[in-house]
Amino acid sequence: MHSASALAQEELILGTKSRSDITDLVSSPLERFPSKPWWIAIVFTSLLATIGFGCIGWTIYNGIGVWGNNHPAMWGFDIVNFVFWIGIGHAGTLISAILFLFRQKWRTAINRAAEAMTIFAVMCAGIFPLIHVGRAWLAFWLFPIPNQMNLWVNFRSPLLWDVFAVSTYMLVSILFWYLGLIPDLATLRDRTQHPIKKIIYSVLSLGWRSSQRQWKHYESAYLIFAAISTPLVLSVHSIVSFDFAVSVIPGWHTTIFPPYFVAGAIFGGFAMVEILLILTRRLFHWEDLITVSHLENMNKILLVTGMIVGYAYFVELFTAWYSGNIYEMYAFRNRLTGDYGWIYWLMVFCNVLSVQVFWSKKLRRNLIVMFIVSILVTIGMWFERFVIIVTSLTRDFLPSAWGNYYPTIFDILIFTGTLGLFFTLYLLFIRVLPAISIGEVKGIMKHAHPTGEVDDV
Amino acid sequence: MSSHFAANFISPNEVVRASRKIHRLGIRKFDVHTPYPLHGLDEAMGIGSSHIPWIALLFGLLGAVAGISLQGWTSAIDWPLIVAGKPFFSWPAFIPITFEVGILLCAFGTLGALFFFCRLPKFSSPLEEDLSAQRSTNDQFMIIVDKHDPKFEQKVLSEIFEQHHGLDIRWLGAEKR
Repeated sequence: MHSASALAQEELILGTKSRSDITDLVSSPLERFPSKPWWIAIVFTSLLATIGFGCIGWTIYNGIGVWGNNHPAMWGFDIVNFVFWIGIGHAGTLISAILFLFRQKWRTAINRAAEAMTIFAVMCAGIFPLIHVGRAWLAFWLFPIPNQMNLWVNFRSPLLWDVFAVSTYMLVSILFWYLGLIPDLATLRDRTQHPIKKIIYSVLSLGWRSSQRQWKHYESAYLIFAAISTPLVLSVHSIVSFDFAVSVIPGWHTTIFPPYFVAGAIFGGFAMVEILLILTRRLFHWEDLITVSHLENMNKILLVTGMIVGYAYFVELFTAWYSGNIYEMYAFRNRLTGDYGWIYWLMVFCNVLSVQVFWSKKLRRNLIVMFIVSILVTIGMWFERFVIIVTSLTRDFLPSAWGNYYPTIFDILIFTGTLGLFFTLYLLFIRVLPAISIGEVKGIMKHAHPTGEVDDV
Repeated sequence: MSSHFAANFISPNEVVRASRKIHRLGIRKFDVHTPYPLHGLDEAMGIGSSHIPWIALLFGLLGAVAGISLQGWTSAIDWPLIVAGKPFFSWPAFIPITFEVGILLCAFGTLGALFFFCRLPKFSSPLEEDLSAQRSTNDQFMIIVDKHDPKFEQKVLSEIFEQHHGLDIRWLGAEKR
């Protein structure tokens, strides 16, 4: 670190590398046989996923009575997991779209992996509404498709807005990710000697030749994707929060929910991106491309969003007290001291207190510390959704309708199954597609662009 | 003999200068292949801005109109059903879906427009026969000029290429024979 000038730009690519070194470094994992740690990891994660799918099958066969959901806790692990996974996805779009609009060059080394993670997280999220409707084979009723009853969906319901928001988010994320992949697929096509890979990369790269006349349109399209993904990602979690905020349940019916959910989503998602990147850079020896400075920047975002989340926790309590409404006040007193109080305090520890270590530059740049904190944040954000959903539902207006919620083994195994699915998909992704954007990294190298040439015409 | 005259370059400065000279000669049927988009190259080549934003806007508005029409028609015309005592055309509740459908169509429109302007998917290219051309997706820059351009003069172009340290000055695909 050069402390001489605080504003001096941090080096984003370490060591002296040529452009072809970058291509070699990023594409080499795609060209060798997977290593032992990779095999061990994928055996474990795919086993988890298989068990999870078995439990999903059992749920569909028997009905959702095999879950712990009851009356009054009609939303349990299913919705907790849905909100958790949707939230994880948001970090990827933040990195690929919002940081792009803010011209944060450090995003280039991490955006591909983060976008892929978004897609896998949304896939995991999508499973839950599908099975939560009970009769999964009728889930198409969620869409406004003409049917035998001549009846339309209720467009005034936030649950339906969710259907549109999540499916749009999924499709736009996939298109954005694929758009970014096209130039790299062309690089791989021109590089590979393997005849079958050549055909696959040729088809996927659509005949892209990276000419300036193509780049001009490409950059324009990329900017538009970033510009539309930014409000989209904010809208998605806002709409998810409407599922709660539009109801009248104490603890849910608050106006702070949309920004609070969006900040929480970015917070939890960044933690997951960090977990994945710390492991990926070690596995593939990408320490020079995904540097400690990249991770430090992410830790700063974790610190900021963590404190926004902490502020939201505080404002919720304040508003409940200030409202003078006995139901609101009870809901929050119950959150802090009720049967699930330990989960509330675990959540506060993970989400608000643990990230405070990042005030120290030394700890912010320590890989072990950030790995542990990221895991804590991931756990904390899962429990945050549990606190919101379960404490409010189990203790609403009428004491006669109160009752606790306990998950069954199927709830737990379906959740671990989606964790397995997520990591399995990620492990496959890093083996078959370049997990760092080859073209974009070349564009931020030293002397990548002509100097003194733009304006001297 | 192929119809494209080409040279590879290592330095971004040189490729931009060479492109500017070629553009000033009045040659229009030429292109520069670069592993990443180079700043200032579009101006040197005299490429105007892309029309994609207009198409994106059009599709975004189209999607928004489609979204609100779908909701209005189903809720107020096809089967007016009182839900929670709200008006049939309760437009504030229709905003989220209108927005989402607008974004969705905008995304499809943008990608479609990109494919249209870049003529993707493309099934063959003069570049695929040429080994040096394949470095233009890896580490080198390449200028190719179509000989059908009315201002095409091989001698002048060779001079420009050499002046700017062009490597492997050739007719595309010639080395394969």
